[in-house]
Amino acid sequence: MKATLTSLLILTMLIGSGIYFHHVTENTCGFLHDNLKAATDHVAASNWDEANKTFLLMQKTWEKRKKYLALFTHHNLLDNVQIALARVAAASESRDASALSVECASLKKELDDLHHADRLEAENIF
Amino acid sequence: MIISITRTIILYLLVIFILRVMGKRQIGELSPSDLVITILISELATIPMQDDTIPLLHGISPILTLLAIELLVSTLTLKSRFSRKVIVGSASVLIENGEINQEEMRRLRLNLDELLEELRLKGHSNIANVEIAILESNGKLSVFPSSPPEEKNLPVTLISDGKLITPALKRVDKEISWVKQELKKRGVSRIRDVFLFQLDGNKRIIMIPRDKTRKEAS
Repeated sequence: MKATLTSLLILTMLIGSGIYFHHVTENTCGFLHDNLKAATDHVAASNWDEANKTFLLMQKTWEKRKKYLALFTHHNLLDNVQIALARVAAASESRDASALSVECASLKKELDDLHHADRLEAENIF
Repeated sequence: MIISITRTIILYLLVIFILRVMGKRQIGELSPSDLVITILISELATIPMQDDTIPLLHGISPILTLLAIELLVSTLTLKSRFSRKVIVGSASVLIENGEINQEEMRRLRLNLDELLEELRLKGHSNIANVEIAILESNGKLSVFPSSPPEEKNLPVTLISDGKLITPALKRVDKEISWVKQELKKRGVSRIRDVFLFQLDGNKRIIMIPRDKTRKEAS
């Protein structure tokens, strides 16, 4: 009986942790996606200062959350997002709209990869 | 490098803890499922040891999952004879009354050379001196040499852990009513109160009742 309860407890903790970590990842990716969209809207309206502020906010938030995400996410995925964010910020500072749109697309792809990395999907299982 | 060392120490301690919790003995005594789990755990532990980009949790969570599965499976095999047979397997009698069970050997894909080798390793160079040879579920061979007539035949288990074994009952040509009668003589009213009930070749009965104090405590 003790063994059964122990194993059920372990499984519950593992599944619960998995669900929680996935929720954290989703929130982070959602936050970055929303801000990316807002920033690109600012750029479209030629409001570069607001766009730069938004990208800076994204980077600061990412720095905070990355430490926690590193506990349960592949570091390569996190590094890719980090690099993409830096490139986006650099393109925004230089006010190069075409370069910025390329870098934003790249960042969006990296965020999608991060979001889908641990999802319970057939593609991930097999 | 320090990170690798730290991870290795953490995973080493974790694997030791897990194996202790599972109550492992020597490798040679492990059942098939135990062996699989032990090998998997050791393989899983090495992955985050070698690759620093993989979070430690990605190595720990599969190991804990295996521990949980192993605890569930071991509880299941404890409670259910059928699941024990499926997961752990059962012993196979290869030699009975001095005769080799060739069909059983074919079923196990065991050839005669292997059997003779095992017998020699057990100190039996002459197969004619072997009364009974049983291949246990852990792969080891138990050998019972030919003995004086009064010691022939292994005891037959009729009740195991509170459950009546009907095929064994048929083998010794007894009825369930006889079993109940014998239990009653020994002060036991129900089959489920019996831990072990055996009938040996001399018609002697070995009966061990269930541990009542433990039963009451649980």
